[in-house]
Amino acid sequence: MLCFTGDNLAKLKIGASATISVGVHKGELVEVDHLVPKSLVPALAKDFANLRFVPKSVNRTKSDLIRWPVLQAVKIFVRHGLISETAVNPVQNLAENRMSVRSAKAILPGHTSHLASLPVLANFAAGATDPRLIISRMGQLIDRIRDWEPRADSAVTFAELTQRHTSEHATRTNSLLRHAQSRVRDDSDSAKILEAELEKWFQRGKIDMLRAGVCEQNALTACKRARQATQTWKHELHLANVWQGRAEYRENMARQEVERAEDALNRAQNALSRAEEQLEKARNQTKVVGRDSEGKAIREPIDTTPFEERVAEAQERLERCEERLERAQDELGRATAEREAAEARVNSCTHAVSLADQAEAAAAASLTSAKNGIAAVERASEEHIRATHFVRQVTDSLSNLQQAVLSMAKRITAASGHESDARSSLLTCQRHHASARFDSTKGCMEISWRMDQLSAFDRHITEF
Amino acid sequence: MFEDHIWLRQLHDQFADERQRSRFTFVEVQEYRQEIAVLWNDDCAKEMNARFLNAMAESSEASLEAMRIQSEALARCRLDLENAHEFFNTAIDTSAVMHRHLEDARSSFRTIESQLNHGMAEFRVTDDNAAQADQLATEAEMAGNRAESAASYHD
Repeated sequence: MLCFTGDNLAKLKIGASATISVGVHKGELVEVDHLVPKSLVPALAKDFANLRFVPKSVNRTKSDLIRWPVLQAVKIFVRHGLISETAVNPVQNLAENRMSVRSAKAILPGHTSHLASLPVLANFAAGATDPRLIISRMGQLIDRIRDWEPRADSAVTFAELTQRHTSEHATRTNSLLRHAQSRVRDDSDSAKILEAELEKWFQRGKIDMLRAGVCEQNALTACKRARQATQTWKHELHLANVWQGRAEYRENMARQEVERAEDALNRAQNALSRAEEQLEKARNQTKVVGRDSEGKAIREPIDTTPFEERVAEAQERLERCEERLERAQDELGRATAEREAAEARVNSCTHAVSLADQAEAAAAASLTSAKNGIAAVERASEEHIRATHFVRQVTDSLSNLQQAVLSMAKRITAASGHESDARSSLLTCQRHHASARFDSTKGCMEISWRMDQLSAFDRHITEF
Repeated sequence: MFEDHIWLRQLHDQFADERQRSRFTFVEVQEYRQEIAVLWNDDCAKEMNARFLNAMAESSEASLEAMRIQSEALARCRLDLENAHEFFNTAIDTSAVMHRHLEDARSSFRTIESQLNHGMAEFRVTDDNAAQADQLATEAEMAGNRAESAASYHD
């Protein structure tokens, strides 16, 4: 229609209608017509979406019938929430039955009396601004709003994403906390077992130390007794040896005396034999004591008394030798018995000394073992001191571990609170964003419709 | 987990950037509205503002504010989680140290047990040897007394 000419803009500024400047309707005034008759839907009477610009002749001569474009427009308005769905069926009936607007008055709710068409662009006239400039600004406003929309959507999406990942992170951290708490429990149990074991080894060490004392005392007693036995039996052996020497000497002396007595006895027996032989010879000997008458020498036996005395003397001597030999043999018997007793004593003492030596060796070994045992128990005691130190470090570490896990739990509780606050804020954000987006969509649509209407005012007429 | 923190921090930074960009765009829209208000101030403008644009601005402002509060809460949450992780790492390290001491203590217990058992074995040998020494001393006594001494012989 090309209404935004200099003349028309001047008319519009004072509230007058524009004049069509080109086309078949050139020279006619432009009027505003309702696409959906306001008699059908009074609520759309002042809605820009329902307005269209038509030449005056077209407006005045148009059919009063309800046509399909009207039904389509009603459906669009219903879809965009401008009117209620209840308006569709009555309009559809009117369109299907080719009824007129007048006949519809009786069937549509909210019907008001028909108003005269609004003066063209009366709304724009008050500002006295070039509508093309306004159309341009409206378009730019819509563009900017549509630039903002994906940006705002993206921010909200990021908010949701960040919230979700932070929540997942918090959940994972919570799992770690449970893991750490479980480890604290396990480590506490281990520490308790360790302390009990430390106490057990302490008690065992104490008992073993007492045992060590008793063992050492027993070993010392055994050593003392063995040493005394050794000394005693070595002394006894010495005495036995001395005794044996004396006994052997006595036996030798006795044996020599027996030999001497036997020699003496032999000599006495020989002397007696010679004396008896001489006596016998003497008894057969005679001596001349005179002459008998015949001149024969008178002979008489010689005196044998000296020979007899010598025999008697030899016999006496023999008897003495026999007595001496008997005495010597007795002595030899006694001396031999003593020597044998002494030898037996020496043998028994030698055996006793040997046994005592073995006892002393066993006692010494016992003492050595006792000392080794005591050294081992002392080393265990020193190790127990080290173990006590380690257990103390374990206890300290456990305390630090518990403290760390406690602090971790506090941080997670605080984090959970912040996460909950953030979630609440996100819900608020989503609610406001949905509302803003609803308003922006509706607003852009509305502005766009109005902008189209305003633009249509200046377009070539291609229909009517 | 350290990588998780880095990643989460980057995500938070990206979120802050997105929020900032959204605010800039929003401010641009509002500034443009103010700018065109001089030209476009007719009934239609008033109606659009009243029905849609003002409400949209208020909701958007409220949304951005809620997002700011959420972002700050998430940042605090992240810091707390990082601290929690540091405590977790400390706990793990401490637990490892504790287990080393635990192993040292157990090793000491094994040494104690070995030494005490060795001591007990030595004490058993001590007892055996002492008993043997006693027995031998007694046998020596008996053996020595089996034969008469010089004194008793002469008696």
